[in-house]
Amino acid sequence: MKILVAMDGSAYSVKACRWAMNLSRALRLPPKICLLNADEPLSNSVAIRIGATEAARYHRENAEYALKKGRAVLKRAGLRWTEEARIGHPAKVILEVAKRYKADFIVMGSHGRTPLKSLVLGSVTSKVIAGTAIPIAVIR
Amino acid sequence: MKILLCTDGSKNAERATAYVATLTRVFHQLDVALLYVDIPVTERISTLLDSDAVEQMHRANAEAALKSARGRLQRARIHPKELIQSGNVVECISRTARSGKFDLIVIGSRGHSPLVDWMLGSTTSEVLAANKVPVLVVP
Repeated sequence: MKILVAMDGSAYSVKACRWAMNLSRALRLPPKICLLNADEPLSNSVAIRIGATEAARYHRENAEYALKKGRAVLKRAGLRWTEEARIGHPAKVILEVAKRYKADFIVMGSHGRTPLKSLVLGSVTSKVIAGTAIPIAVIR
Repeated sequence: MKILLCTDGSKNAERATAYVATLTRVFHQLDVALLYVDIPVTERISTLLDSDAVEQMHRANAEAALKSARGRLQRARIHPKELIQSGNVVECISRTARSGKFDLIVIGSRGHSPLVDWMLGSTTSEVLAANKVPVLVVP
């Protein structure tokens, strides 16, 4: 069983990761888990102003922040996992990686970091649902 | 693992059923309930029909929707409990998921509604909004 967990560091994404961890207890064989962070690229003008080194550092820090909490959850449960940090439009990256990784399903929170709680689903989650050929577990 | 599989007999629900059938190999124990929710008849119609006829109609609808799902699951050695309800689809699904302490709701990304261009069926998105139980959306 291959599970792709989309992480953005939000409380919802941590919950999604915890759910994947609990699910793995019910499986016959330990799953292959991949924690993925897709970081929105900087706008061109900003990227040029701060320079390539700074831009790379910015993305590295974002990925570290997003993956850190998921990592802790899996480590405590004694699970093994792989990590992937990518820069790109989150929904697109999630779909690409899920396909390449041949995930059996994607796990993600119903919302991410945007504070629009009134929306039924966060924008990234709804885009992934709209585009996916792989089942997706939505965690609230 | 307690799974609530929602079906309306549509192609998408069939795909959700097929997916659940594959899960039996990967989980220690899989407890599947198959839920069909029929839309209640309008008040006007219910005055014209006696309650037996209404009951019979619901049962016939349920049987049509559940038949192939049941067969598919049984071939995978899953013997689902069948739940037949009538009422608001979203409310029924949410209530059942909560009261039955299900771990996961499995639902197709869209059902019978003809708005196929709409990216996510209205029932599916309302189910996502209406409850805290994780939902597995099968495309």
